[in-house]
Amino acid sequence: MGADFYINKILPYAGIIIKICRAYTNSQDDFENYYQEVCLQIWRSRHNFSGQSEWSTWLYRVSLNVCLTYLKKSKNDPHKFASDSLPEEVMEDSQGFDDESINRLYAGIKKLSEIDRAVILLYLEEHSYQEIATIIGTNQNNIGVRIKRIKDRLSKILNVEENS
Amino acid sequence: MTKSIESIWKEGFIENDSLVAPKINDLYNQKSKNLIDRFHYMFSINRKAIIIGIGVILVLSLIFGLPYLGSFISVLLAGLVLIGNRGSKQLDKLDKTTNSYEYLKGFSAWRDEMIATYCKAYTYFYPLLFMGLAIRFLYSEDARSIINAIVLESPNTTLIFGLPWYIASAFLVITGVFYNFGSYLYKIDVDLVYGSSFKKLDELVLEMESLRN
Repeated sequence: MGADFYINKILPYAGIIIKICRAYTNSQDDFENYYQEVCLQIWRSRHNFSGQSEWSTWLYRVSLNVCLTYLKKSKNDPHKFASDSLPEEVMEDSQGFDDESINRLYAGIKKLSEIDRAVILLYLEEHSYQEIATIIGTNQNNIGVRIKRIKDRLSKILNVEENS
Repeated sequence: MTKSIESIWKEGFIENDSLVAPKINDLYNQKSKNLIDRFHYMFSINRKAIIIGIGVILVLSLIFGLPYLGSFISVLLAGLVLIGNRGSKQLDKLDKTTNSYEYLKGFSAWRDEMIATYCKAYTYFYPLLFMGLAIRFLYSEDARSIINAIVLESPNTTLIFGLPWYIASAFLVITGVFYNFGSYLYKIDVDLVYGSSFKKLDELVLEMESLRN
């Protein structure tokens, strides 16, 4: 990979990739593999960027697509999706960030379905409903309702954890 | 007071230090673990293996004096290579940079079409392969001498294409079984290897569709 491309086109937006990859991984190893895979696919797909959307929006799209179809190497099932949610006792590491509240929020996000994780991440990154619908390829009218449901669910999860 | 998830998110990422990119190693030479790339890789390995297999079969069939059988099996295998080539070209068209629904739906449609095509191919591949091998054996000198001995012992046995009726019937029944179960064998094989990831993919597409409607 051209080092210049990584430094100039990916690294300034690494935050986007990190936030997405954290939501789909359950360990530091997985996270690093995901990050690497997303960078690889951005590099491979760079010629498909037509400039019709912002570079950052395009990065969200590629990152999400890669995370949704990333396969985890496993002895039992070499074709298992890595984003499959795991029982809490199996989660190796959910302490990806220094901020404890963010870690708890991420732990809640990881309990959502893969699609809901994508929706809420885009919402938290302050994308409009229209942008979220465009990135995911869905109906803008349903996004608002879905976000409300996800937020309710997340609040419940966080409150239960806070009270326990 | 409990903070909203929006403020947790905003405040949590005020310090950009929390978003440290991991080191990447030799990225350009990494093997992708993406589902689509994995299929690309698998198709390419399969095609190469079949092409090598065709070469080996042709050489062995010439050495053992079975050029017609060798050519026949090679033609059957070449059919599988052509299907694989077509599938690989279609897979090339899938764009990882499109929206998530089109990306997942596109892969899912490709998968369904490939499974249907291979099922149809294996419906004919297995029975034709069996027929080729069986006909070559049944009309070989060794088999002919055994069949002649059987006919001499039971001269009233009905013959079909020069074979005792029960051998001819067994041949037809086994061919029929392969014809009927060829696609099942393929589906079982696919399910064993890719069952869980395909199930997951279907769930993702279903959820996307529920969000669209």
